[in-house]
Amino acid sequence: MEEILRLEHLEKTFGTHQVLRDISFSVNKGDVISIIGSSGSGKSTMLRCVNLLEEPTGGKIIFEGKDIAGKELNLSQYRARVGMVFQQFNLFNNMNALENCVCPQLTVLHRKREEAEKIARDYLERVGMSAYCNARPAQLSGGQKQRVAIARTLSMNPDIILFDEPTSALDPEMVGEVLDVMKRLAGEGFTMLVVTHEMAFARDVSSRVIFMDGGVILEDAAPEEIFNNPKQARTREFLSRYLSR
Amino acid sequence: MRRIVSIVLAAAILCLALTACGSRQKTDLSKATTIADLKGAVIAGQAGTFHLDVIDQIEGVEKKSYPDFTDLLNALKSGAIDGYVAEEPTALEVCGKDDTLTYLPFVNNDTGFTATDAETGIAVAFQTGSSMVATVNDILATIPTETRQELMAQMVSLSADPDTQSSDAIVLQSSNTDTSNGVFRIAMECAYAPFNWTQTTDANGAVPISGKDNLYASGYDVRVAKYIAAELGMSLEVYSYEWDSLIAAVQSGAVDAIIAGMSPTAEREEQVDFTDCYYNSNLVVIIKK
Amino acid sequence: MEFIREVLGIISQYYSYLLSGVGYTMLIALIGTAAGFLIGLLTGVIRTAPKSKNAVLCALHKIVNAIIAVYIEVFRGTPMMVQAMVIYWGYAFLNDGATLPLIPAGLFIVSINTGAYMAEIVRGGIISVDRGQLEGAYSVGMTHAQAMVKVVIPQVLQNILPSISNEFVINIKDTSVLNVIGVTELYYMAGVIKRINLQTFQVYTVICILYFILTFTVTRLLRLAEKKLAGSDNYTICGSGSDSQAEIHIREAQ
Repeated sequence: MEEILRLEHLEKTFGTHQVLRDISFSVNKGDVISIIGSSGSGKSTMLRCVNLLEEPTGGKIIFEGKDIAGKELNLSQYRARVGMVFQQFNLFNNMNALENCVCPQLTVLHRKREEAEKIARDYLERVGMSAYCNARPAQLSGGQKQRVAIARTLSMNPDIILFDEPTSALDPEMVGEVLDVMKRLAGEGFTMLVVTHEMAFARDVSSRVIFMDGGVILEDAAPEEIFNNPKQARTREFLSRYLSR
Repeated sequence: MRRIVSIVLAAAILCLALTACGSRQKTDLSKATTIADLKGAVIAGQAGTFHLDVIDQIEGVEKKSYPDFTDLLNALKSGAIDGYVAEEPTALEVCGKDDTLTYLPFVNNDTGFTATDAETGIAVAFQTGSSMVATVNDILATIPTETRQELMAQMVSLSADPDTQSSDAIVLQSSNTDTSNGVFRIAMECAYAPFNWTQTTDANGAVPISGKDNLYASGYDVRVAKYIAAELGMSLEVYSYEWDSLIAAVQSGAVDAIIAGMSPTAEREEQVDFTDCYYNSNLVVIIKK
Repeated sequence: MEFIREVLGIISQYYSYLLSGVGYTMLIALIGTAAGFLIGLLTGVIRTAPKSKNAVLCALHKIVNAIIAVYIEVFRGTPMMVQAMVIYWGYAFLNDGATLPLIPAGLFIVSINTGAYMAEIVRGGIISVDRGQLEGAYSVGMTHAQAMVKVVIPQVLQNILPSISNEFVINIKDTSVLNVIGVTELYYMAGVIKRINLQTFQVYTVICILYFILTFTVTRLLRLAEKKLAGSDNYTICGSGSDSQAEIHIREAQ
């Protein structure tokens, strides 16, 4: 298996508060890794560190064999290759759905407009949003916004996509449409790192599950392993609370 | 209903406020013949001038000041003041235009007032230490007193209708037509008839005001300035500034001289150098008849 | 009606002076507001820029920020009339009597004064744009500058347009203080006419009406422009007094 991303002893402190401690794992091409854990366990911070929205205070991030803190990788190019889908969508409010997908291609990848539009329309079609090309974010529902956000990320043809609790801000009836899209992507072989509270998704779709607690990785194993036979007491406690609901 | 009540209330408050303002207790000056009769009146002068200081010598009057000389006349006409201090030529000009006005002369020592010649005369001001003072003094010495009086009389009559061309030639003319010595830049308010005023045409040899389209300056100061410039072999440029900016204009070098009906008072002597006076007049108080 | 006759007389006799005054007032207010806006935009972007990792750039940024802060405090904290006098005469004293040409001087004074106000307006506008917009832009690989130009500033513009219009209207009125240095805008022209015909009340009545026509027209036009710019997805009309059926209209639009 070809390795894409590796975290080595990643640390993050805010002031005196240490949020991440000694986070190490690697991601292979085609992996769909779900990161679960209770709120405040550091999973979102870890994800934000991966594309440097937060700057790690220690450790290394190796992308395709290169240290991203080094000179070989330009931050902008790196981020273009590591897509991110946010809990709050973060669509550009001043652009319609199509422009949201086209603009980053033009500014960052310097694609031609025709090409960029073709790619954008293609991905909007694949997330089922092609009818809403001209709609502004303010005119879309949460689930629709999130699907456009996914199309925006896909338009950049990233090597890996980070999902930061993509369904947490959605009304329950909209969660399904977004999860469906994500499932499809997983099936198509995209490499995904998903911070989620959707245990069904973690169990049924992902190839690996990482359980985080108190800023450290407690378990990193196949979903069947984690859900059927958790090693740690803390994992069991967490899962029992979730699965009993 | 509520709207009607509020309108009625607002109207009532407005009426109250207006009646409260009321009219000022005016002093009857119709029989005044001397300065002493002005007791109890409100007398105004232009801010930053000797005119304002001189009001202190009138017993029992209330002193007011306005920044713009033109405002004094408006204040008198509106009834805000009972009279204002001016130079005699101004009084002649103003009372000539409006027959409801008259003036009380403010004769030195005669009527109990004291003012030095420097305080009632007007002179040209240069930067301190300027060698121009002596040169201009020589030029001014060539203008006899009678010519000064005639010129002033002419200006008083011209100021009544400045934009209409008069058939009379200006009495003060230089025979020198050479202007090869450069530009003589002077500052004045262009708002102090008959010494200097603004008009909208170049009738009667008015000089364009620098930097102001279609505005021209004329008056006694302008005639004297034209004469001085011609005698110096220079061309004349007139700049219009507020009264309070005139000294700054000459100190900074923005202009070469002030020729603006300005009296060479002791305080101003500390800031600029004055020539000899180019006109001497009496102070007056302009009042309603 | 003697008064009305005199007012009409002033208009017919001095209309060319009044029009030229209106022209300069509008010119200075318009260009001053535009230039002030650009100053505000520039300072706003500089002040909200993230700290550089390069120590030299970081220090430079701090120095520039300090200068901007002083500029804003000084120009917001002193009257424009005083600034006009200080700048005009200060220049004359420092340059051996060379004076600034009046209209450019007026433009300069109004621009830097407006700039100081705009700096705060723009900074507020940038800060009020959701942090997520920047993160969204960063996450697709845009640099801070690209994110500002493509994503943040267009939103800031739409948000602060009412403030810009407001500054413009204020400037139309406030150019009148430039008469102290002799800029021939509308108020100066009123002074000139007053000194010629001595009809103080009548002259100021005329320019009072002129100023009102200017500000009223400009306010209406700008409001129209704001509506156009906001487009159909203007959700701010929700619960507004201008549209009693706002909710219905929004539902229909969706």
